[in-house]
Amino acid sequence: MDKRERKKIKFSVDGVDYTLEYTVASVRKMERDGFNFNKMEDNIVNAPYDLFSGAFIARHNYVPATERDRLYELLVNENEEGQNLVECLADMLKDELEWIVSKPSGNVTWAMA
Amino acid sequence: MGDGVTPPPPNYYNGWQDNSLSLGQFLDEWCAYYMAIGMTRNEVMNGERDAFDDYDRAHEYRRVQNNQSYHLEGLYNYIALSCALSSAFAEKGKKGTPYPPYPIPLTQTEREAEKKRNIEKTLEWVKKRKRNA
Repeated sequence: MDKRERKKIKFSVDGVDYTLEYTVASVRKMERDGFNFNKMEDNIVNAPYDLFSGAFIARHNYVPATERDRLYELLVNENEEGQNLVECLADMLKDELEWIVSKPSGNVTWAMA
Repeated sequence: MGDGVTPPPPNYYNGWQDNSLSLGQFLDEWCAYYMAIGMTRNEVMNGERDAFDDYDRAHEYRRVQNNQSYHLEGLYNYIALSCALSSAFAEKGKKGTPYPPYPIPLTQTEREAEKKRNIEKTLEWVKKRKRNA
């Protein structure tokens, strides 16, 4: 996949199409809301939900928290592939952060601690 | 960037790496940098990654253009000063070097136009000499 293309997750629930992705706005908002990017694995209770909710900021910021809760229940808690989805989201967020740090200096390396 | 002032090099990028900046501060600076090189806030926040590459390249071109224009400005200043000094210190009864009536030719078209002007000037001079002879 082209590095310049953002990774996205697309799904449809009750006839509504959703596209989850992280942009600069998402990363910034999540950081301001207190999301800890360095200790995602330690925070296994809240981090998956925060990741899921944060992925709505880019394209579906109008979706209320109650609806996000419901979708989270459907796609993560009640789904066998839920853990994979969370891992994909973590990977997407890592990709976005790596891309941000790579520009424009291009020689800074970044690794998730 | 009409005033030719370009943002400082993003040396703060290393700030986050050595923990002198928090991620939030780093992101603030990052966004401000891209807004300084001409992106809108919406483009920075939700824009495609291609747009960032384009703005980076445009910024580099602008930097080169500005550098060339400053260099040319320096050359004009040098010529103007030389002409002024040559007039001021010219021998009595002699004129100093006049300031060039036309700008310095930079493109091929401008160079050809200058060549044409020079030929016309020479022909005029020859005609004048013939008339006086």
